[in-house]
Amino acid sequence: MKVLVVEDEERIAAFLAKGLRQRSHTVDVVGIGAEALQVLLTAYPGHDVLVLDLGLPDIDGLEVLRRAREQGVQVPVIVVTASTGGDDRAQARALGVDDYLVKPFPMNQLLASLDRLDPGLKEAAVSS
Amino acid sequence: MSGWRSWSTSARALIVGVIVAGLAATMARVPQIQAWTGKELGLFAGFALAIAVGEFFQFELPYRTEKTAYVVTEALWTAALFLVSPSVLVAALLVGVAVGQVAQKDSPIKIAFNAGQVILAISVALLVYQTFGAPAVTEPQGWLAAAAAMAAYQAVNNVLVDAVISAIEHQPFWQVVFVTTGILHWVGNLAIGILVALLWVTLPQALPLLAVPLVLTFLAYRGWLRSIEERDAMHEMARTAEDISRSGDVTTRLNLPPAQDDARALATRLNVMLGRLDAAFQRERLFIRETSHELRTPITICRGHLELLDPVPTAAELQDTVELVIDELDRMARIVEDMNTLARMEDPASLRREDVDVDVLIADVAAKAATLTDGRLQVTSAPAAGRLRADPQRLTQALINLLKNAAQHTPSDAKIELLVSAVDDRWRFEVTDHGDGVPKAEEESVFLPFCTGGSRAAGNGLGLAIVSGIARAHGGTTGLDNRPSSGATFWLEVPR
Repeated sequence: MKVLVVEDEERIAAFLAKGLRQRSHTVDVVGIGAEALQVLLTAYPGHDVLVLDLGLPDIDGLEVLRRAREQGVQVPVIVVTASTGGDDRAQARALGVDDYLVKPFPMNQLLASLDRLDPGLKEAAVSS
Repeated sequence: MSGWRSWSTSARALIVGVIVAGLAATMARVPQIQAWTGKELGLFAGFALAIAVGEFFQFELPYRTEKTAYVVTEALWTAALFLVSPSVLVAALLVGVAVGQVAQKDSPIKIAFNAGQVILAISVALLVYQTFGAPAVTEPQGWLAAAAAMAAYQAVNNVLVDAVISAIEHQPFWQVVFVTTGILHWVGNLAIGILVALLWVTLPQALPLLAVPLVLTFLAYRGWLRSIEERDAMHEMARTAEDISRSGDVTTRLNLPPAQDDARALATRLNVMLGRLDAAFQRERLFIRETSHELRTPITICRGHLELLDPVPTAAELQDTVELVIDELDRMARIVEDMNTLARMEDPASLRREDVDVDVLIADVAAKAATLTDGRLQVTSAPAAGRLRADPQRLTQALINLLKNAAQHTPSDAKIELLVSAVDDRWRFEVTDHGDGVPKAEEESVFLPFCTGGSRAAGNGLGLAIVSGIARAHGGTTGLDNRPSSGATFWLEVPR
């Protein structure tokens, strides 16, 4: 799968990318909301899934998603966040987020979420 | 009584019924009134005036929207049973009650209902008195007749008033009767009324003497009713306080008692205290949530990198991961340390105050911040710098935090200014940077813990909160003069 990781903490983005690549996913990483929005709007449908942090320094992650959805971007989304506020989760659900992972989480949990989005890919990854 | 439109049909029917019946009872006396002598006219005028004045001397026991009045005028009616003809009594009552209540600016509907109600009640009382053969006040049988007549009066009066209250308040009828029936009231007015009539007949010049026990009774009675009100208010407060301690819900507030008394003042103060507790709990919840949020990032980094470390790592990989994990652990340690500092800062008792020379303090701060500000610091001291009573270590820490904040948000060649001045009765320390200023949306929250949004996200978000805590512990304040896109001045003021 082609994954767009939106994460401002470089060290988190680094291990996310490493873990995803180890499972043969293709990974692009951006660190701020504006850039994420640009990639989503210009390259759509360039990515199969969006791994989205919410606490971005410029535009809130949910706002990025809202604007992208308004422009017709229907990419599946997995939120990864340090926020446990109940409101974020409800807003994410309203924007059609597929999974919501609270940091810290085991890498396997993120990989399992991706597998659920594309069951065929899991077979391929296991057999390779 | 207010809110005619909001009352039920039965309440309205009851009120209209009482008014019409009272009117009918008055009309029945008209032929007798037409036959009055001059003496009867004089008695009528005197009694009506006395009743109107008496309307001002009443004790009211509030019951929700209604008030039950304990009126001394009933003593006058007891006396009047013996002294004047029934038509004089009824007419004086009607005019006296109406004039007294109009003077007190009661609503027309209340005046009409009350007039109707007393006319009905006194008509029943007259009937009872006449059944006894209308005995004179000098005979004990007369006292018995007056007691029975006034008991009938009291019964009719209370039943009517309580029926209206219960119809309006939708309360069980017996409960209201229990609340408002005053046996003491009946006994007291009966005795006074008989005494008035007796003195009038036997020794009129002794009548003024009655004023003394009347006034004393008035005061005692008023005090007694107030103590009942206060007791009820205290019970109510105790119940609410118990609810709060059981549920732990500090958003609840005590109901303020209607009377402007000590119980109300106490409830008001307790509500202020509850408000403070509520705010403190909210701050604590927010702080815990923000802290856990802040610690999640380094934990996530450590966990992720260790989890993905190759089972047989190269020496370089191992080295990188160890350095990264130690770095993140240091970050966690700093957060924990700052939180600890912040918690202690809020407490003025944690300060070690001493006489501080402002110039020495500033020189010390400048020396400690030398590496941080890298030769960009420009200090301006007040012309007549003096001394202040403060904890020098804490104040230094606050100023260094402000300088650190400025250094993080200033281009590497722009200067940072530290200005000290005496403003009225305070010392003012200003740190000015020439960065991008604070985003408009964060101006209000910049001194709150973990506010690190946007372009100013460099520290862990506790530095300025610590500055604010240190200022508050010294009895001072902090603030921000923001110039978006050209810099910001953060200031701290402490008493001189």
